[in-house]
Amino acid sequence: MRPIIILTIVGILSATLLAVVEDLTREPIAVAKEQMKRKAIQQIFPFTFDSLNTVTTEKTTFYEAYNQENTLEGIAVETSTEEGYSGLIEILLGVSPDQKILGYKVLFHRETPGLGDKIDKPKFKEQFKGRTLENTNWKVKKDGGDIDELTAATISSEAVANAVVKGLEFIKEQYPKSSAE
Amino acid sequence: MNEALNIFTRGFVRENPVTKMLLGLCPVLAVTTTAVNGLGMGLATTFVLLGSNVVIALASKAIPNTVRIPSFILVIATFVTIVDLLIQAFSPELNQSLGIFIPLIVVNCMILGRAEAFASRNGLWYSIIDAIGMGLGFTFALLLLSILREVLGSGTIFNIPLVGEDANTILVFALPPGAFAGLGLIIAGLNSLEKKMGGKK
Repeated sequence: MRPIIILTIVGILSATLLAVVEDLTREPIAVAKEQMKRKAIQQIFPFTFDSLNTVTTEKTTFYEAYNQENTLEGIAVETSTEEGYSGLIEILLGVSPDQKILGYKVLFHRETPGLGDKIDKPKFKEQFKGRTLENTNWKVKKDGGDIDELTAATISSEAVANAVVKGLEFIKEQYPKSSAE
Repeated sequence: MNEALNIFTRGFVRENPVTKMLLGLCPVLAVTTTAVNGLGMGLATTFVLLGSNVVIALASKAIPNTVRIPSFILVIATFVTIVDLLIQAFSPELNQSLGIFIPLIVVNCMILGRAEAFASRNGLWYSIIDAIGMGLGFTFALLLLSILREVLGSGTIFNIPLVGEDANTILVFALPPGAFAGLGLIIAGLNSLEKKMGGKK
């Protein structure tokens, strides 16, 4: 009987302690997550935004970045693909109000370190700037497209291009009027 | 005091959990791609080890033999969850890079090993020294391996670039096989160093 009681007591003590810590850290964790997101969004925009408006739809989440005069300066959208070399790649894509790409940030990936993980390096990202759904052939150069693939990481490069296209389509669907064309 | 020093250095050098006892190799091999990760993992593990050693040293007499291991695991799991929550709350960057490896500290056999082999049989004071010695030894080994792998594999150290972005690095060191090779090199190096210094002792 004694072992059962002791183990139960250990369990109860553990659970109590964890409940207290969980309670204490719940707020900071939520704040930290929010800050990470804000930081990520700030990184993809060349300007400093004043306020963010989050729009969640069935498919994804949009973040509208406004300046101090409350004009829309950019839209960020969460997009992803399962077609990475190691599966899921999540990207935060930023576009200007006329839906030209301003930049992106990789939120999650498991691509090969040193090869595929260069999808998050400035050199690769640079080429996406200013592209739109219409002005670009979204295949890699090897297949006759416009995207300069990473050496030894064609699959990762294609996956990013696909995710970006998906993000642009989300935005086109959500903001049909703001398109320049 | 001499005994305390002895316990401390044993964990750090003579019975280093990684380079001598080859314990807890899952995190050692998996997270050591960058020095920041290695250091973060080492310190997180040290904290868990310290917590579990303290509790177990205090409570071991009350715990019957039959439920010893489950109780130890419960204590360790509790501390790991605390560390996990704290890292999520106060160091989201580290959380992003260490990710699933933090919860996996639970199954780091080094921690259960210390609980079973040391803390349950010794007093509080020595258990604390043991935890710090072993934890720092573990951190030291992780740091050594991760610096080696980061410098050779990615050409950076603590995320500071040492070479240009286009420079060719020895990629294999950033990949899993490089972890095994790097660990082997470090163990060999430390063993030979110890042999050379052994004469003076």
